[in-house]
Amino acid sequence: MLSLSSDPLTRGEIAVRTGLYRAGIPRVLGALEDQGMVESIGQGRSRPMRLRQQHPLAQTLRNLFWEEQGRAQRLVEALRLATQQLEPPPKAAWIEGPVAVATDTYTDPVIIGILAEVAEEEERWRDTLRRRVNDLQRQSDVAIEIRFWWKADMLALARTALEHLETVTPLVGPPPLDLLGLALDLPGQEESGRMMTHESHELTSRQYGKALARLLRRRPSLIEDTVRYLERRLPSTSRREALELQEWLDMLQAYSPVRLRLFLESTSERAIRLRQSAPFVHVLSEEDRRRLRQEALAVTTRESKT
Amino acid sequence: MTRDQLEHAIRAVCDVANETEVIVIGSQAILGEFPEAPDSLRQSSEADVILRNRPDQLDHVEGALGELSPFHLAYDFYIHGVTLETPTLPAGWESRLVKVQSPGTRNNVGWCLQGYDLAASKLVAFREKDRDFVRILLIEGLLDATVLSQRLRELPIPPERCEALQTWVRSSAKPRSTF
Repeated sequence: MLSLSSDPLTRGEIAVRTGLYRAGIPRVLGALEDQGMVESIGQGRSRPMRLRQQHPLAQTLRNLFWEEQGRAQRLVEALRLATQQLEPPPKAAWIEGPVAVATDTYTDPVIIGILAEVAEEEERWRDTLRRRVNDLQRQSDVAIEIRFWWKADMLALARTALEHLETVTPLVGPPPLDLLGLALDLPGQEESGRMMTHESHELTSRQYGKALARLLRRRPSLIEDTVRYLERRLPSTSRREALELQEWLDMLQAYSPVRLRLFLESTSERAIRLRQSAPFVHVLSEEDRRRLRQEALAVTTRESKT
Repeated sequence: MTRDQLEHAIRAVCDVANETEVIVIGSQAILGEFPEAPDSLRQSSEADVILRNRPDQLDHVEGALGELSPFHLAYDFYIHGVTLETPTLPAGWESRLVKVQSPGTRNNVGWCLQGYDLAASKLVAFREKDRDFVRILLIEGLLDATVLSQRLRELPIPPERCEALQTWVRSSAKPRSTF
């Protein structure tokens, strides 16, 4: 976790991101600190920790964990392709369980959930997907399970039985709770009263920019995270997408943080255009994205009612 | 966005909104008439869509498929539901809509603005990105300057504005080598 983070992390943050028991983290960090692999920053009891750059294996560790992330992403893309090619395409398919919430261990399976409405769909999909999944299991050294969810069941189940579906990785369509209108914090569940014009969406997009600028002020390391994301992604992007993403990369590498924050809030034509393809969504946590959406939509809803 | 992604977007909107027909009015609509639209057309990550029968579901669409949603993160594009009053379009535009319907849309229908109507609406806005978009359509030969100029006359705009846009079309349609 430390090798993937640009920021030093407190013990509490490490516990949240790794899913480890907080009580055991000081012992683990102590052992790593004794080996010279990590170091603490600042004073006090809750000193954040970071990977120690001078350690001869620091870059190797970074490369190892980045490669593992890449491997996981390739598996997700393969599963996405396998489910999107089902005939007819399902309304929703996703990865659920420990893998979706990033608390999985080596023995945890990758659980694919698929929304079915009629028996014929399950029959057609089950055999086709099983063949494709078997190949992926052998190639990737993972166990993959398939779980069919019936729409009628999901609409009838108690909310607590669906809580684990609040965080999924979509493979086809939106997350199932979003699709069925069952998500607890889905923006727009109550009628917002906002005008739904292109101009109002541009205003909302500008509010996202403002909220993002505030977040970057608190956590400037997100800029470096986004640069690294774009450098990994650009070589495999279509030319159509690459034009916008390259412009973002050039800007992130050339602009000061202050200039970048001002740009995100700008009403210039270039800012309006580029905000539509802002790459930050890929480096923000789910909590960050949710908070940005709520902040931006709250402002535009308030303004539309006055 | 690719043609496959457009079909995915149409399918997702219809699934979320319990809709059977939508109208695609943003830049992505060009993929309806020209599935292999050139890469030189810069396209954003957003798709603007009108719900033909379920306008009451706009908020639900925004929540499930909008900017910064899990859908956006997973597929690199997001969807704005907009109202029918949004675009300024040439008279008769609805009769020229291009139908996108396939197993990829789960046989739901995505009606895409015809290229000339899309270009005309872009020129009404006349922002830099709109001008760039229409210019590429003309230079790449997807649209004919004469036909576009005639279509501009069908817009509900003052005559002097129409003439200015027609002049712009004639100038912009020149191949680069003539400069």
